[in-house]
Amino acid sequence: MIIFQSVTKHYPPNVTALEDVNLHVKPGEFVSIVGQSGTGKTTLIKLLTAEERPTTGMITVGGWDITRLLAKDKPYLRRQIGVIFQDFKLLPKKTAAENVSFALEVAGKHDSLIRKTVNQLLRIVGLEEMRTRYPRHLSGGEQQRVAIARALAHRPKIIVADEPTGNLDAIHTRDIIDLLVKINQFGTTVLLVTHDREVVNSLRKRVITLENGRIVNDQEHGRYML
Amino acid sequence: MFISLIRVLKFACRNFWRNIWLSLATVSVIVLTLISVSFLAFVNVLASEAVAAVKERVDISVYFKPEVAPQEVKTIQTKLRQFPEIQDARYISREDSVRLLQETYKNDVFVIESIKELGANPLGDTLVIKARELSYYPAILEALEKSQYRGLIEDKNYEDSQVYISKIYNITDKIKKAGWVMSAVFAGIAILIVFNTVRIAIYTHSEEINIMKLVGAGNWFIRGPFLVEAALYAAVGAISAVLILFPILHVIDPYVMSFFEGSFSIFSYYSHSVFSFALYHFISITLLTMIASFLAIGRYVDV
Repeated sequence: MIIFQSVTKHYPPNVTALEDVNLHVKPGEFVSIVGQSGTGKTTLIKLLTAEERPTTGMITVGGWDITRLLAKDKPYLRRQIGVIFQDFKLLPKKTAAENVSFALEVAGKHDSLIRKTVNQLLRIVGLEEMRTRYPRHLSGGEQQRVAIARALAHRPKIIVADEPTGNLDAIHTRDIIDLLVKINQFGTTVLLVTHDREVVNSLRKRVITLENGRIVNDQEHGRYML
Repeated sequence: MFISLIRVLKFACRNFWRNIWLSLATVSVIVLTLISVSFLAFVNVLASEAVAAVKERVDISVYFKPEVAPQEVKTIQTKLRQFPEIQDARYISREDSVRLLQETYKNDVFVIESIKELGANPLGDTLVIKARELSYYPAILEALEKSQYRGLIEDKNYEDSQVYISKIYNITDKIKKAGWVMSAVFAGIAILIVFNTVRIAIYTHSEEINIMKLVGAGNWFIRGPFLVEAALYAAVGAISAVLILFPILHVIDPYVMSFFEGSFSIFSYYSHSVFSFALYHFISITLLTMIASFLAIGRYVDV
């Protein structure tokens, strides 16, 4: 599904964010990527969503070489990878439903299909009743659930969650992780970037540990090692 | 394609409404800019009108010798009227001339007594020549100087007019130059203000643009609503400016009318040319806001 082959990313003048990273994520896997701040976790996500280009190496997603992706093709890649962030990144002037439907509207989907899909997604994340609320009127956990619904809008094969529970309390953290596990059980590959030791240990899934831009540990049923 | 176009329009209108304070701030800057530019245009119009009013009063009188028969003067008048440079050549008979003289100097006993002393009318006929353009006068006078009628002419008020004409030329030229410089400076300032206002408006949306990219929006789908929103700013700004100018000009109009002795009304002038004003305003400000918007979004889109 996702292959990183000898990927290195340098930032001028002399910062190396990732160094010779080799990674293979199979379809349907749930992978936690852990590491201290500045170890290259976010760079890895940015490379995967083509926000950044690797300095050397090759990245393929579902057999598609995205290493030197053209600007016009980036939107198509981003519709295949749902991304969730620590700060939710919702459009503040759009309601919960509009935030989800926007992801479908940009792809030129018909209104009837959008209405149906948005209803389904809000039901999955348990926010049907809050569809008309703006992000500022939702709790952190609810905002993150809207972000998850949006990430699922294109029925992506991959969900990338970058510290999705970083701004949430323990209860909401559990809710979000349970939701991600549920999504994974439906066959979606999930990449979870996190600092949260408890979350990683409770999952008992594959754990990749990054240190100074290098993969230092990759365990099938791993634990938080740092 | 059609769905996307409709959505771009919908998003633009929604953005305009939901960011109403930012929209109003941008529109206000556009309105102030357009009103200022309009006033500059009005100053140019008033200056041209003033110069035209003065030009209207310029003419040259050609005084013929008393022995030249009226019929001969009228023949010259007919010939002069055929010149394309000459708008009119008015004939004043010697009787009318002396009557005018007596009327003008009715309180001056010396002049009245002198005319009586002479017994006969000492004046000849006069032709008052009015050219279509100020610049034609020297050529007309030169033509008269070189013509076969040269010997029939007693005098011309050439020198007086020449001073008058050159003064008017000087003033017109200076007004035109000042108008151009002021317009250029003002246009430059207006462009900078509107450009930066739109840039700030876009800057406040930079996070939003980032999110649009993340959910897979194409570049044109991101740019589209901002460009339409810029056009909306321009449309609302242009319409508001055009409407606000009506009451302002209504207040100013009596002063302008009194300056021009009732011959020119800035309010009527504006009322007659309001559509061209609105069109020029809308086109220029739309281009400006859309270019500013296009360039400003460019910084955030191409990632």
